[in-house]
This record gives sequence, C-alpha cells and structure tokens, in this order.
Amino acid sequence: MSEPLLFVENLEVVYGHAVRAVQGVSFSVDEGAIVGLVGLNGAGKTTTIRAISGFLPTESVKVTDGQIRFAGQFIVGWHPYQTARAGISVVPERDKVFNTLTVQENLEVALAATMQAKERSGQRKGYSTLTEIYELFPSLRARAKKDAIYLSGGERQMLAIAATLLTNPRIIIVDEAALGLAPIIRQQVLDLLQDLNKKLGLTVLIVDQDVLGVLSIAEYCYILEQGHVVFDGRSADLLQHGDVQEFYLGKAEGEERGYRNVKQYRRVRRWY
Amino acid sequence: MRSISTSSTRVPSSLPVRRIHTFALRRGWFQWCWLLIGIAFLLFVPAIVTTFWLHLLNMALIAVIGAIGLNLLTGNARLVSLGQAAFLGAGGFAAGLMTVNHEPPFLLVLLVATIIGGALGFIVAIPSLRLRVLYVAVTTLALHFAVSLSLNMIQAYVLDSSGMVLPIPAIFGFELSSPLRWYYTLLVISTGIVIAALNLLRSFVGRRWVAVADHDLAAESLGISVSRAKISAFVVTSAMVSFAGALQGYYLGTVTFEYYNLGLAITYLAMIIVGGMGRVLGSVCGAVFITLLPYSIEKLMHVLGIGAEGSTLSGLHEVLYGVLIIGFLLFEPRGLAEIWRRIKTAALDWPFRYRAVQRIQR
Repeated sequence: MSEPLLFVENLEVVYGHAVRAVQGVSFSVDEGAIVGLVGLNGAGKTTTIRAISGFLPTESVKVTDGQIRFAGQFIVGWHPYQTARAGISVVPERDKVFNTLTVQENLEVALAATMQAKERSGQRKGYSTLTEIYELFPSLRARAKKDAIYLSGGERQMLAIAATLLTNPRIIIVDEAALGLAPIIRQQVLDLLQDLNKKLGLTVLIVDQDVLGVLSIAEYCYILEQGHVVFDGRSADLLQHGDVQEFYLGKAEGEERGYRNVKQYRRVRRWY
Repeated sequence: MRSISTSSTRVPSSLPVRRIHTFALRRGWFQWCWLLIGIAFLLFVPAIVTTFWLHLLNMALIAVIGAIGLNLLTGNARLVSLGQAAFLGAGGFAAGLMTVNHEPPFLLVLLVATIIGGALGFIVAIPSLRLRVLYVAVTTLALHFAVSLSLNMIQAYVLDSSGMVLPIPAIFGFELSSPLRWYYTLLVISTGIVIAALNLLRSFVGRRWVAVADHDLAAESLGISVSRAKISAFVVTSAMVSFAGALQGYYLGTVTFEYYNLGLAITYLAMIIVGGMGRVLGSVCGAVFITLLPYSIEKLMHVLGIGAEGSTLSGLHEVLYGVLIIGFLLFEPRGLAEIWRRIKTAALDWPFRYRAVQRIQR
C-alpha cells in the first residue's frame, strides 16, 4: 500500500509544561478517504488538529514528541499559512467567516490567499472559480452581497467550507462540523462533505463529538479519550462494537445503565 | 451535480451567475452628469475663492493623502497608529535634508521620501506582529517619540538651525510657484491616490489586510500569512503618509520638527474618525472638513461679529476636535461618509421614505 496522505505518529502535545493534552496519538488518513476523529470534550481532538495545522499558538504549548507527515513532508513547526498552502485546509471550530465582509468578499479572500500558491494547483482537487462554487452552494449565491454576519449557522459552515475549497486543498479538516446546528442542517453538512469526497475525491478528516453522525459517513474512525486513541477501526465494525455502543451510542445490553454506572465502569476498565 | 442548499427551495444550477463586480464606468447618465459637475466644480474652485482659502484647500488636499494612508492602516487593517506625525515628519525631513545642499529633482526627492517612510513602517511593523490593538498603538506612540527626538537632534546638531527651507519644486520644467499651480498639481496627485486606494482595497493585497483585521485565525487557515499582511499594510500606508509629508514640506517651504508633534497625529485621527473609518471617501471628507474647520469657524464668528481675537482661538481648536471626536463616536460612528451615503439614498428615493423591498432573486 502506498503511503497515507497524512500520517500522525506518536504525537504528544503539552500545554504550559504541565498538561499533556495529547499523549501519543497515532493515526493516518489515506488519500481520498473520509476519516473521523471523535471523542468527548477535552479528549484532545482539537489539540491534535491544531498541531497538524500549525495553530498551536504560543511558546507554552508545544509538540514535545512525535511526527506529523503530510504528503511526504514533516510539518511539525510549520506556520498555519504554510500548512494551508501545502494543502491542509482547516475549517475552524467556531468563528470561521469574516463577519464584516460580504459572502462574495469572503470567497474572494480565499482566492486572494491562494494566488501565490497557484503553481501547485495542478495536483490538487478543488474548485478554482466562484462560478463553480456558486453552482455547488446556491444558497450562498442568493446571499452573495449580504454581510456574512447575517448568515445562519448552517450557511456560515457552508461558506467556510466553500472558502476552503477555493484554496485548492488536498485534505480538508473540519473541526466540529456540526457544532450548534440543528439535526437537519447537521445532516446536510455531513452529506455535503460526503458529496465532495465522492465527486472530487477530496480527502476529509472530520473531527466531532457526534459519534453516530461521523460513523455514518466516515470509512475509518479513531476514538480519542484523554489524549489517547482508545479505539480505531472501520466504521461498520465500530458500530457493532459493544463498548462503543455503550459509551457513545447510548445502547446497553440487558439492563439500562445510568451515567453513574458508565462512569464507574470506565474507571474499572482501563482502555489505555 | 447535486446542489446543497440550507433553504428549503432547491435552485436549478443552470441559473447564470450574476456578475457582482461593479464597473465604475458602467453608470447611468445621471451619475455621469454629477461626475462632470463635480469635476468642473473642482477645476473652477480657484476662481471663486481667495488665495488664503486656496492655500487651505491645498493643505486639505495634502491632508487627504495622509488621511487615506492612516485610514487604510487604522480603518481597514485595524492597526491603530499614533505615529502619523512621525511618518509625516520622516517624509518632510527626508525632503528637507536632501535639498539642503543639492538640488535633486522634485520627483526623485518624493520617491526617496516615500521609500524612507516605507522602511520606517517596516521597522514599526515588526513589534506589531505579536501585539493587539492597544499595544500596537503604544508601539507607534513609541515610534513617534523616537522619531520626534531624532528630528530634534538632526535639526539642532546636524543642521544647527531652526528649520530647513525647501526650494520651489518643478515637475519637468513646470514650476510650482503659486498656490494655483499647486492646487491643480495636488488635485491630480490626490485623485490618483484616491483611485489607487480604492483599487488597493479591491485587490488581493487589500482583501488580505481586511481579512487579517477581521479574523486572523480564519485568514491564516486559508493560507494568508498574517505577518506579511501586517507588514505590507504598515509599509504601504506609511510610505503613502511619508509621501504626503514630503509634499507638505515642499508646499510650506519650511520644515521644522516642532510641527510634527503629537497634536498633529491626533488631528489626523480626528480626520478619519469624523470622516469615517475604513472608507476612502471618509478620509477625503474628514481631511477637508478638519483642515477647513478652524478657519471656517473664525470666518463665521467674524461674519457674525462676535469678538474673535486670534489668541483666544488657538486653544479652541483642540477643544473642538475633542468635542467632534466624542460627538461622532457617539452619534455617527461611521462618520461623514455615512451621512453622505444617507443623503444620497434619500435623494435617490426622494418622494418616498423607503426604497421598495427588493425581491431576492432566486
């Protein structure tokens, strides 16, 4: 098998010399795949992708161990704009659009950002013109002249994804794709990602808490807990797995288990 | 291709995409008329004003260039700058020092002053890369005092004089010897700068500045280098301001360091706040308004016959600027440019209070 597009090996990230948020996470994303990275709050998901995209901001947060390889290059320590130009597009967690600009201008900014990186665009899969983007996102075309601050949550997510498509990504990492969205819109966003993957062969890494949603579209999934990968496997297998069903999907064999029981069970049964 | 839409209506993807770019030349006859009237007015202004007011207008035109520079930096790239006087002073002194012993061509002096301003902008940009709004302002304040002190030293020890006298400049033999000639020259230059600034904001460079100002993390995740955007914003705008400083030095004919005090920086901030932050039209309105304001009031008092001694007025300017800044921040935070926009829409909709609600084209 050829080398995966993104390969994270034994990653360790320490906050302020004290908190090890990510403790030896390894995973890989193949070209053209949809991979999920799920876990509860504080599991280290966001920290991991910040390490990948170079967004770990200050001296007090450091990648202390491990390697990240993207398309054959070691990218630990790169600036965010460098990783972005190399083809890693991150849709950030909450604020992701430029509020004072109109929708059209938001997209133009994305175009502006990649003008310097055009020379590599030949190898990438993505959209290069606004026309194509508007064809894919008609709701954005209808609001092209509106300020982005007036968009709804779902539209903001669409706009953010549209903007990243304009930067000709090789992999698009969506942090909390469905945060604060209604279930219907959430499904639309997930469908959109699956669509992009199918039509363009775009590699997608979804980072989310919504285990069921991610499992439904991802081919392969990693479950993070307290900075460790505790489970990984094909989505179909994970869906059948007893512990995953119990902890993340809320199904229990036999008697109903309360939160307290689950917590107790977790303490007894060390996954790592 | 399957269309994804958050609204319930599905849109056929065969709809032609509307061009959203506006072409400045694609106007109606109405706008053409107003444009021509405006140009004609600007061209014939010297015929209706006295020499003193023409002088003031020239000062205003130079201030327009400086205010545009400051507004691009503070209004659009949102890097608050108190170093306006320093950049102006750098330009003025560069022009002054170059013409002390030699007589280099006018345009060359302007070019060198611009480059020096850009270099100064680069220096002050470096500490601003890791700083936020207020701290950037403090950095530029530090620059102001550093430059102010340097200019003082140059004037006192190197030149050993109380200022520099600049020669009358000439552009390809056209001597700028009278306010009238200056007026037309400055009109051309300022118009050029206005158009350049408007284009800059629509260019990729300007878009990057605004994106970084708006949301630096999102900008960076799209592949925009925040540090490069900030540095380029500082370099370009301070070069512009320095250019204005050199022009002003030439126009006034003398350059002294006392002129470039903190009050001047505040005056320019007043211009962009009163005019409208982040709007090129705002810089123009604000610069003209603030430059003409004190003398207009003086004139008004004279006409009204209120006893106006020159001495009592000097303190009044600062009070007036303060009141204006507070007033505009409270009641019209988007400045004169917004008032103008409102007048324009009101005039276009005229007999009606509101424009008919436009159906969103789907």
